[in-house]
Amino acid sequence: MKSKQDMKLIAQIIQELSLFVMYHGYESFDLSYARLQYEETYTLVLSDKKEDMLTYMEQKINQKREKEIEAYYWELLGDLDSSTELNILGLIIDYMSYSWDNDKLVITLHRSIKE
Amino acid sequence: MKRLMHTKTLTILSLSILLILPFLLDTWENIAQGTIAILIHPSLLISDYLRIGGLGASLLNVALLMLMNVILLALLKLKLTGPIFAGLLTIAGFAFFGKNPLNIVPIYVGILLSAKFQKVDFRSLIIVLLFSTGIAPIVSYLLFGTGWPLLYAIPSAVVIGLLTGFLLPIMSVHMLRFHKGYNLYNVGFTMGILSFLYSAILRGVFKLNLFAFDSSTSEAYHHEMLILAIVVSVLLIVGGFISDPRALKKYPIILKSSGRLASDFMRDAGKEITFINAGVMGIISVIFCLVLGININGPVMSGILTVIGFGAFGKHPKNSLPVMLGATIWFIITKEMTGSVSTGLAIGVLFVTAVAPVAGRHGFLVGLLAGFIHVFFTPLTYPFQGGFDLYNNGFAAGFVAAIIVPIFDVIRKNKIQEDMS
Repeated sequence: MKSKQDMKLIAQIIQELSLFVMYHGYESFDLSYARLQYEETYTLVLSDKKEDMLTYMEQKINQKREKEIEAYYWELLGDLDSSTELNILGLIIDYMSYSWDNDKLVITLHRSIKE
Repeated sequence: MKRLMHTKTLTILSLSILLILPFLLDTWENIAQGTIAILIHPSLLISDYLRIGGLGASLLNVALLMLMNVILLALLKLKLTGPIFAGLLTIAGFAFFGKNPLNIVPIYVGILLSAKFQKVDFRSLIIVLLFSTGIAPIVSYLLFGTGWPLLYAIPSAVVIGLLTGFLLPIMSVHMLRFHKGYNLYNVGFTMGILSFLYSAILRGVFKLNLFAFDSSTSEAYHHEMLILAIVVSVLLIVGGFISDPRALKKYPIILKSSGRLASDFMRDAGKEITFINAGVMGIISVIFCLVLGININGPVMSGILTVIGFGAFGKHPKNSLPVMLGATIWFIITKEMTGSVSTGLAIGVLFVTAVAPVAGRHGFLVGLLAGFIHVFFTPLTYPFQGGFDLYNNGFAAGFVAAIIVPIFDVIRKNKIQEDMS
């Protein structure tokens, strides 16, 4: 069972991702959330591939997760001020994967959860 | 030589020097008397330990606090990161005015209780813990400043210390929303709010005068402090270059950052260039002191060390110089008009860098404005919070960021387009 704070965090991650892709010029995208047994996933489906954004995301998101940042700075998530500010999200997500599927870019962010 | 630059070796070496240094510069007798004077002082803002305890006792206080915190970090198996480096240097700085081994313990235990209550890993609260000691004077004041018999003073100091530690992790997370991460001293802002509550109760209910203490400072150790600040800064720069001679290539990563919370330069650009940046920030602080004729006392030394520490966590020359210059304008005007400048305004020139991310986000002129406004806020927030929050500039910076950032976000709404291009 998720706590109220866990739910808020998920909502703020979704908001942060939405702002991020909009700041990068996307006017249409799909974003979905799923809670699995050991992890949560956030999946972004985009109509085209922007190499700069993808490289930046990979660099930030694949950083090692830092629990102390997560515990303290999660309130700042969802309040993105520029297209180059994924610092906190990068420390909350474990890793990202992506694929190019039927002219759609599918980016999945994985975040492990304690059971 | 590169082996010497390993964090573990450096930590042991620095701690050993810190522990030996007081006994090289002062007598055992002076150090013992000074340490007792520091431990039993109410420690409200501004309590210059260099005046109260002397040079040796103040340096020993720095060494003991660093030792306690480094042991704690080692026990928790935490590695050096930007926020931890900033936290340690801030503790070292404020060990010159307000923090001592006696008044920080109840707050740390309170944070441990908070972790247990919230069912979170104690290690995850380490950032709040390292900055939490800014409110340590509440413990010293209740013990030694109220004039209450020890029968009442000890339990009240312990209970309020524990309560403070318990509340800080809960409150500080939510305070981030107020300034959107543009105040680097967020825990300082949170402690200002909590101090306001304590101040209101102690003044309103118990009719205590919180401003009856001697807040004079000692400039007698200006040269020793100047040398210490320069040595620390130069060692950081030299150490960074020895470890990685090509570290400067990574400096643009730091300089491009707005510095907004949570910008960990060690993680983003590497330890070596972060040490260099921290050293550069120290040299800049020393230059400001020398050019403006600020003699280094306990509070000023605290400002220099804090700026050095935050050189790993949000501050760099590009975002700090505008706000420092903004504060300097009012410093010069005041000095010209009155012939003297208060300690509060002098340290404001250094601690104004709490709002450095405002300049990082909106540029030089807005930074200049933020710095200029900031120094008007600090004299107002001080009586408001009663002197329990040593990070009074962090308290003021929260309001400055909350005013400036939304206004300029609207005025400069096309900034997002600029970022993308």
